[in-house]
Amino acid sequence: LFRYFLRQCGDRGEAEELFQDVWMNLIRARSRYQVRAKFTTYLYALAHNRLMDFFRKKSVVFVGASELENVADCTMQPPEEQASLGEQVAKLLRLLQELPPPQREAFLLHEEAGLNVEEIAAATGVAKEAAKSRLRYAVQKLREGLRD
Amino acid sequence: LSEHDSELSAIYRESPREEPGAKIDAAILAAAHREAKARPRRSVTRSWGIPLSAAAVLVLSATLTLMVLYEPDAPQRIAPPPASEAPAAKQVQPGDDERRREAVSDKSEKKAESPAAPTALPERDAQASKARSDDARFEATPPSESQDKASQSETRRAELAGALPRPAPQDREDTASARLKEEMPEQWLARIEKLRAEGKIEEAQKSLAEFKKRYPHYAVPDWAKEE
Repeated sequence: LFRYFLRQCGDRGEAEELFQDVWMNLIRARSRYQVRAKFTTYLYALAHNRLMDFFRKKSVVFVGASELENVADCTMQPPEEQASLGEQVAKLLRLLQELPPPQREAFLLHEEAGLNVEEIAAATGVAKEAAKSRLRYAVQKLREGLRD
Repeated sequence: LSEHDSELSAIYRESPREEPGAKIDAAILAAAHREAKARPRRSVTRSWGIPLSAAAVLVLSATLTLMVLYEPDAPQRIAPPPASEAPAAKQVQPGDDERRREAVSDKSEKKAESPAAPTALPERDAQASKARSDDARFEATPPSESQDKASQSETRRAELAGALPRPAPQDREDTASARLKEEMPEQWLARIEKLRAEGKIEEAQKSLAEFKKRYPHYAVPDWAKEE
Protein backbone atom coordinates (compact mmCIF):
# COMPACT_ATOMS: atom_id res chain seq x y z
CA LEU A 1 0.00 0.00 0.00
CA PHE A 2 2.83 2.36 0.85
CA ARG A 3 4.51 1.73 -2.50
CA TYR A 4 1.19 2.18 -4.25
CA PHE A 5 1.09 5.72 -2.82
CA LEU A 6 4.78 6.33 -3.31
CA ARG A 7 4.74 5.37 -6.99
CA GLN A 8 1.67 7.53 -7.53
CA CYS A 9 2.64 10.74 -5.76
CA GLY A 10 6.41 10.38 -5.82
CA ASP A 11 7.05 11.95 -2.43
CA ARG A 12 7.87 9.81 0.56
CA GLY A 13 6.41 12.20 3.12
CA GLU A 14 3.13 12.50 1.27
CA ALA A 15 3.03 8.77 0.67
CA GLU A 16 3.44 8.17 4.42
CA GLU A 17 0.67 10.62 5.22
CA LEU A 18 -1.69 8.97 2.77
CA PHE A 19 -0.70 5.54 4.02
CA GLN A 20 -1.42 6.50 7.64
CA ASP A 21 -4.72 8.18 6.72
CA VAL A 22 -6.00 5.09 5.00
CA TRP A 23 -5.16 2.81 7.94
CA MET A 24 -6.65 5.22 10.47
CA ASN A 25 -9.84 5.52 8.44
CA LEU A 26 -10.01 1.78 8.20
CA ILE A 27 -9.63 1.39 11.97
CA ARG A 28 -12.27 4.02 12.71
CA ALA A 29 -14.74 2.62 10.20
CA ARG A 30 -14.21 -1.02 11.14
CA SER A 31 -17.79 -1.40 12.44
CA ARG A 32 -19.12 -0.51 9.01
CA TYR A 33 -16.94 -3.07 7.25
CA GLN A 34 -18.92 -5.85 5.62
CA VAL A 35 -17.35 -8.84 3.96
CA ARG A 36 -18.47 -8.47 0.37
CA ALA A 37 -15.17 -8.95 -1.43
CA LYS A 38 -11.51 -9.60 -0.71
CA PHE A 39 -10.19 -7.39 2.07
CA THR A 40 -7.38 -6.22 -0.22
CA THR A 41 -9.94 -4.92 -2.70
CA TYR A 42 -11.69 -3.00 0.09
CA LEU A 43 -8.39 -1.59 1.36
CA TYR A 44 -7.31 -0.45 -2.08
CA ALA A 45 -10.70 1.06 -2.75
CA LEU A 46 -10.17 3.24 0.33
CA ALA A 47 -6.66 4.01 -0.88
CA HIS A 48 -7.91 4.94 -4.35
CA ASN A 49 -10.49 7.33 -2.87
CA ARG A 50 -7.90 8.93 -0.62
CA LEU A 51 -5.50 9.33 -3.53
CA MET A 52 -8.19 10.95 -5.67
CA ASP A 53 -8.83 13.45 -2.87
CA PHE A 54 -5.12 14.12 -2.69
CA PHE A 55 -4.87 14.70 -6.47
CA ARG A 56 -7.93 16.92 -6.39
CA LYS A 57 -6.41 19.12 -3.69
CA LYS A 58 -3.06 19.33 -5.43
CA SER A 59 -4.65 19.83 -8.85
CA VAL A 60 -1.43 18.46 -10.33
CA VAL A 61 -0.38 14.89 -10.99
CA PHE A 62 3.35 14.49 -10.55
CA VAL A 63 5.76 11.70 -9.77
CA GLY A 64 9.15 12.39 -8.20
CA ALA A 65 12.38 10.65 -9.10
CA SER A 66 13.60 10.05 -5.54
CA GLU A 67 12.47 6.45 -5.58
CA LEU A 68 14.91 5.65 -8.36
CA GLU A 69 17.98 6.39 -6.27
CA ASN A 70 18.55 2.99 -4.69
CA VAL A 71 17.50 0.82 -7.58
CA ALA A 72 20.87 -0.85 -8.14
CA ASP A 73 21.45 -1.66 -4.45
CA CYS A 74 18.62 -4.10 -3.99
CA THR A 75 19.47 -6.63 -6.68
CA MET A 76 21.28 -9.94 -6.14
CA GLN A 77 22.36 -10.55 -9.72
CA PRO A 78 25.95 -10.95 -10.98
CA PRO A 79 27.66 -7.57 -11.58
CA GLU A 80 27.34 -7.60 -15.37
CA GLU A 81 23.67 -8.71 -15.24
CA GLN A 82 23.08 -6.47 -12.23
CA ALA A 83 23.92 -3.41 -14.23
CA SER A 84 21.69 -4.47 -17.01
CA LEU A 85 18.80 -5.32 -14.71
CA GLY A 86 19.33 -2.17 -12.67
CA GLU A 87 19.09 -0.15 -15.84
CA GLN A 88 15.93 -1.95 -16.82
CA VAL A 89 14.35 -1.35 -13.42
CA ALA A 90 15.26 2.32 -13.50
CA LYS A 91 13.90 2.60 -17.02
CA LEU A 92 10.71 0.80 -16.02
CA LEU A 93 10.11 3.11 -13.08
CA ARG A 94 10.71 6.10 -15.30
CA LEU A 95 8.28 4.76 -17.87
CA LEU A 96 5.81 4.13 -15.09
CA GLN A 97 5.94 7.80 -14.14
CA GLU A 98 5.16 8.74 -17.72
CA LEU A 99 2.01 6.64 -17.86
CA PRO A 100 -1.36 8.35 -17.52
CA PRO A 101 -2.45 8.08 -13.85
CA PRO A 102 -5.35 5.63 -14.43
CA GLN A 103 -3.06 3.26 -16.35
CA ARG A 104 -0.31 3.61 -13.76
CA GLU A 105 -2.79 2.90 -11.00
CA ALA A 106 -4.08 -0.21 -12.78
CA PHE A 107 -0.52 -1.49 -13.22
CA LEU A 108 0.38 -0.83 -9.56
CA LEU A 109 -2.79 -2.47 -8.27
CA HIS A 110 -1.93 -5.50 -10.37
CA GLU A 111 1.73 -5.68 -9.42
CA GLU A 112 1.75 -4.38 -5.84
CA ALA A 113 -1.64 -5.54 -4.54
CA GLY A 114 -1.97 -8.62 -6.75
CA LEU A 115 -5.46 -7.64 -7.88
CA ASN A 116 -6.96 -9.10 -11.03
CA VAL A 117 -8.98 -7.11 -13.56
CA GLU A 118 -12.31 -7.53 -11.73
CA GLU A 119 -10.77 -6.48 -8.44
CA ILE A 120 -9.07 -3.48 -10.03
CA ALA A 121 -12.43 -2.46 -11.46
CA ALA A 122 -14.06 -2.82 -8.02
CA ALA A 123 -11.30 -0.89 -6.23
CA THR A 124 -11.25 2.00 -8.68
CA GLY A 125 -15.00 2.09 -9.27
CA VAL A 126 -14.93 1.53 -13.02
CA ALA A 127 -16.32 -1.12 -15.34
CA LYS A 128 -14.37 -4.30 -15.85
CA GLU A 129 -13.73 -3.47 -19.49
CA ALA A 130 -12.30 -0.08 -18.57
CA ALA A 131 -9.98 -1.64 -15.97
CA LYS A 132 -8.90 -4.28 -18.46
CA SER A 133 -8.19 -1.65 -21.10
CA ARG A 134 -6.16 0.50 -18.68
CA LEU A 135 -4.04 -2.42 -17.56
CA ARG A 136 -3.49 -3.63 -21.12
CA TYR A 137 -2.37 -0.22 -22.34
CA ALA A 138 -0.05 0.18 -19.34
CA VAL A 139 1.63 -3.16 -19.99
CA GLN A 140 1.91 -2.44 -23.71
CA LYS A 141 3.52 0.97 -23.20
CA LEU A 142 5.95 -0.29 -20.56
CA ARG A 143 6.95 -3.24 -22.72
CA GLU A 144 7.50 -1.08 -25.79
CA GLY A 145 9.40 1.47 -23.71
CA LEU A 146 11.75 -1.19 -22.36
CA ARG A 147 12.51 -2.47 -25.89
CA ASP A 148 13.51 0.96 -27.17
CA LEU B 1 -2.05 -8.28 -26.38
CA SER B 2 -2.28 -9.35 -22.75
CA GLU B 3 -2.93 -7.60 -19.43
CA HIS B 4 -0.07 -9.52 -17.86
CA ASP B 5 3.56 -9.76 -18.86
CA SER B 6 5.68 -12.04 -16.66
CA GLU B 7 8.96 -10.52 -17.88
CA LEU B 8 7.71 -7.05 -17.05
CA SER B 9 6.52 -8.25 -13.64
CA ALA B 10 9.94 -9.79 -12.94
CA ILE B 11 11.67 -6.52 -13.73
CA TYR B 12 9.18 -4.58 -11.60
CA ARG B 13 9.72 -6.95 -8.65
CA GLU B 14 13.40 -5.99 -8.72
CA SER B 15 12.47 -2.39 -7.98
CA PRO B 16 13.13 -1.08 -4.44
CA ARG B 17 10.70 -2.38 -1.81
CA GLU B 18 10.24 0.81 0.15
CA GLU B 19 8.50 0.59 3.50
CA PRO B 20 6.88 3.31 5.60
CA GLY B 21 8.77 4.65 8.59
CA ALA B 22 8.71 2.79 11.92
CA LYS B 23 6.91 5.73 13.55
CA ILE B 24 4.04 5.43 11.11
CA ASP B 25 3.75 1.71 11.76
CA ALA B 26 3.81 2.25 15.53
CA ALA B 27 1.13 4.97 15.35
CA ILE B 28 -1.15 2.79 13.29
CA LEU B 29 -0.68 -0.21 15.60
CA ALA B 30 -1.36 1.91 18.69
CA ALA B 31 -4.56 3.28 17.15
CA ALA B 32 -5.66 -0.22 16.25
CA HIS B 33 -5.03 -1.46 19.82
CA ARG B 34 -6.93 1.48 21.30
CA GLU B 35 -9.94 0.81 19.10
CA ALA B 36 -9.81 -2.92 19.77
CA LYS B 37 -9.77 -2.38 23.55
CA ALA B 38 -12.60 0.13 23.40
CA ARG B 39 -16.13 -1.16 23.95
CA PRO B 40 -17.51 -2.41 20.68
CA ARG B 41 -19.98 0.11 19.36
CA ARG B 42 -23.10 -1.28 17.85
CA SER B 43 -25.21 0.89 15.67
CA VAL B 44 -28.78 1.61 16.80
CA THR B 45 -30.24 -0.08 13.74
CA ARG B 46 -28.23 -3.24 14.40
CA SER B 47 -28.93 -3.49 18.12
CA TRP B 48 -32.64 -2.69 17.85
CA GLY B 49 -33.29 -3.99 14.36
CA ILE B 50 -34.23 -7.57 15.24
CA PRO B 51 -36.44 -6.81 18.29
CA LEU B 52 -38.23 -4.03 16.41
CA SER B 53 -38.82 -6.25 13.40
CA ALA B 54 -40.21 -9.03 15.60
CA ALA B 55 -42.50 -6.59 17.40
CA ALA B 56 -43.73 -5.15 14.11
CA VAL B 57 -44.52 -8.63 12.78
CA LEU B 58 -46.41 -9.49 15.99
CA VAL B 59 -48.46 -6.29 15.93
CA LEU B 60 -49.28 -6.73 12.26
CA SER B 61 -50.34 -10.36 12.75
CA ALA B 62 -52.50 -9.50 15.77
CA THR B 63 -54.14 -6.61 13.91
CA LEU B 64 -54.93 -8.72 10.88
CA THR B 65 -56.32 -11.52 13.05
CA LEU B 66 -58.56 -9.11 14.96
CA MET B 67 -59.70 -7.48 11.73
CA VAL B 68 -60.69 -10.84 10.28
CA LEU B 69 -62.41 -11.97 13.50
CA TYR B 70 -64.35 -8.77 14.16
CA GLU B 71 -65.30 -7.95 10.61
CA PRO B 72 -69.10 -7.29 10.74
CA ASP B 73 -69.97 -9.34 7.65
CA ALA B 74 -67.53 -12.19 8.22
CA PRO B 75 -69.38 -15.48 7.55
CA GLN B 76 -67.92 -17.18 10.63
CA ARG B 77 -69.48 -14.50 12.85
CA ILE B 78 -73.02 -15.37 11.80
CA ALA B 79 -74.14 -18.09 14.13
CA PRO B 80 -76.91 -20.44 13.07
CA PRO B 81 -80.24 -19.47 14.67
CA PRO B 82 -81.36 -21.62 17.59
CA ALA B 83 -84.08 -24.21 16.97
CA SER B 84 -86.54 -22.31 19.18
CA GLU B 85 -86.47 -19.38 16.75
CA ALA B 86 -87.76 -21.43 13.86
CA PRO B 87 -91.49 -21.00 14.64
CA ALA B 88 -90.99 -17.32 15.24
CA ALA B 89 -89.58 -16.97 11.77
CA LYS B 90 -92.89 -18.14 10.34
CA GLN B 91 -94.67 -15.23 12.03
CA VAL B 92 -92.66 -12.63 10.17
CA GLN B 93 -94.85 -9.88 8.76
CA PRO B 94 -94.69 -9.04 5.06
CA GLY B 95 -93.68 -5.47 5.94
CA ASP B 96 -90.63 -6.71 7.84
CA ASP B 97 -89.70 -8.85 4.92
CA GLU B 98 -89.87 -5.87 2.62
CA ARG B 99 -87.61 -3.82 4.89
CA ARG B 100 -85.07 -6.65 5.12
CA ARG B 101 -85.08 -7.01 1.36
CA GLU B 102 -84.30 -3.35 0.99
CA ALA B 103 -81.54 -3.59 3.57
CA VAL B 104 -79.91 -6.52 1.77
CA SER B 105 -80.21 -4.72 -1.54
CA ASP B 106 -78.65 -1.52 -0.17
CA LYS B 107 -75.87 -3.43 1.51
CA SER B 108 -74.93 -5.33 -1.63
CA GLU B 109 -74.97 -2.11 -3.64
CA LYS B 110 -72.70 -0.40 -1.13
CA LYS B 111 -70.28 -3.30 -1.26
CA ALA B 112 -70.22 -3.20 -5.03
CA GLU B 113 -69.34 0.49 -4.89
CA SER B 114 -66.61 0.07 -2.28
CA PRO B 115 -63.13 0.33 -3.96
CA ALA B 116 -61.33 -1.61 -1.23
CA ALA B 117 -63.66 -4.58 -1.29
CA PRO B 118 -62.14 -7.76 0.11
CA THR B 119 -61.68 -10.88 -1.96
CA ALA B 120 -64.85 -12.51 -0.63
CA LEU B 121 -67.00 -9.89 -2.36
CA PRO B 122 -67.71 -11.71 -5.64
CA GLU B 123 -69.32 -14.57 -3.73
CA ARG B 124 -71.27 -12.18 -1.57
CA ASP B 125 -72.42 -10.22 -4.62
CA ALA B 126 -73.54 -13.41 -6.26
CA GLN B 127 -75.51 -14.28 -3.13
CA ALA B 128 -77.00 -10.80 -2.97
CA SER B 129 -78.05 -10.88 -6.63
CA LYS B 130 -79.58 -14.31 -6.06
CA ALA B 131 -81.44 -12.85 -3.10
CA ARG B 132 -82.70 -10.03 -5.32
CA SER B 133 -83.86 -12.45 -8.00
CA ASP B 134 -85.51 -14.64 -5.37
CA ASP B 135 -87.19 -11.59 -3.90
CA ALA B 136 -88.39 -10.52 -7.32
CA ARG B 137 -89.97 -13.97 -7.72
CA PHE B 138 -91.67 -13.59 -4.37
CA GLU B 139 -93.10 -10.25 -5.37
CA ALA B 140 -94.70 -11.85 -8.42
CA THR B 141 -96.66 -14.36 -6.31
CA PRO B 142 -100.30 -13.65 -5.39
CA PRO B 143 -100.91 -11.87 -2.05
CA SER B 144 -102.97 -14.74 -0.66
CA GLU B 145 -99.86 -16.91 -0.32
CA SER B 146 -97.79 -14.18 1.28
CA GLN B 147 -97.72 -15.79 4.72
CA ASP B 148 -96.23 -19.04 3.42
CA LYS B 149 -93.90 -17.11 1.20
CA ALA B 150 -92.71 -15.08 4.16
CA SER B 151 -91.46 -18.17 5.91
CA GLN B 152 -89.92 -19.44 2.68
CA SER B 153 -88.24 -16.12 2.11
CA GLU B 154 -86.92 -16.12 5.65
CA THR B 155 -85.45 -19.57 5.23
CA ARG B 156 -83.81 -18.66 1.94
CA ARG B 157 -82.43 -15.44 3.35
CA ALA B 158 -80.96 -17.33 6.26
CA GLU B 159 -79.36 -19.71 3.79
CA LEU B 160 -77.93 -16.85 1.78
CA ALA B 161 -76.46 -15.24 4.86
CA GLY B 162 -74.61 -18.48 5.54
CA ALA B 163 -76.53 -19.24 8.75
CA LEU B 164 -77.75 -22.56 7.43
CA PRO B 165 -75.63 -25.08 5.59
CA ARG B 166 -76.14 -24.88 1.86
CA PRO B 167 -77.32 -28.15 0.36
CA ALA B 168 -75.55 -29.85 -2.50
CA PRO B 169 -77.11 -29.32 -5.98
CA GLN B 170 -78.85 -32.73 -5.99
CA ASP B 171 -80.03 -32.30 -2.42
CA ARG B 172 -81.16 -28.80 -3.25
CA GLU B 173 -83.55 -30.13 -5.92
CA ASP B 174 -84.97 -32.73 -3.53
CA THR B 175 -85.33 -30.14 -0.83
CA ALA B 176 -87.04 -27.76 -3.23
CA SER B 177 -89.59 -30.34 -4.33
CA ALA B 178 -90.21 -31.38 -0.73
CA ARG B 179 -90.63 -27.77 0.27
CA LEU B 180 -93.06 -27.25 -2.59
CA LYS B 181 -95.21 -30.12 -1.35
CA GLU B 182 -94.84 -28.89 2.19
CA GLU B 183 -95.91 -25.38 1.43
CA MET B 184 -98.89 -26.06 -0.82
CA PRO B 185 -100.93 -28.93 0.56
CA GLU B 186 -103.98 -28.08 -1.55
CA GLN B 187 -101.99 -28.31 -4.75
CA TRP B 188 -100.37 -31.49 -3.58
CA LEU B 189 -103.78 -33.03 -2.93
CA ALA B 190 -104.99 -31.81 -6.31
CA ARG B 191 -102.04 -33.52 -7.95
CA ILE B 192 -102.80 -36.76 -6.07
CA GLU B 193 -106.38 -36.55 -7.17
CA LYS B 194 -105.23 -36.03 -10.72
CA LEU B 195 -103.03 -39.09 -10.47
CA ARG B 196 -106.03 -41.11 -9.28
CA ALA B 197 -108.07 -39.80 -12.16
CA GLU B 198 -105.37 -40.85 -14.58
CA GLY B 199 -105.40 -44.33 -13.12
CA LYS B 200 -102.01 -44.06 -11.45
CA ILE B 201 -103.40 -45.49 -8.26
CA GLU B 202 -100.20 -46.86 -6.83
CA GLU B 203 -98.34 -43.61 -7.32
CA ALA B 204 -101.27 -41.66 -5.91
CA GLN B 205 -101.40 -43.88 -2.83
CA LYS B 206 -97.66 -43.48 -2.30
CA SER B 207 -97.90 -39.72 -2.60
CA LEU B 208 -100.95 -39.60 -0.33
CA ALA B 209 -99.13 -41.64 2.31
CA GLU B 210 -96.27 -39.21 2.15
CA PHE B 211 -98.74 -36.30 2.39
CA LYS B 212 -100.42 -37.79 5.48
CA LYS B 213 -97.07 -38.39 7.03
CA ARG B 214 -96.15 -34.78 6.37
CA TYR B 215 -99.50 -33.28 7.37
CA PRO B 216 -101.05 -35.70 9.89
CA HIS B 217 -103.66 -33.18 11.13
CA TYR B 218 -104.66 -31.77 7.75
CA ALA B 219 -108.36 -32.07 6.94
CA VAL B 220 -108.14 -34.23 3.84
CA PRO B 221 -111.14 -34.76 1.51
CA ASP B 222 -113.31 -37.86 1.85
CA TRP B 223 -111.68 -39.77 -1.03
CA ALA B 224 -108.34 -39.36 0.73
CA LYS B 225 -109.75 -40.60 4.04
CA GLU B 226 -110.83 -43.84 2.39
CA GLU B 227 -107.40 -44.60 1.08
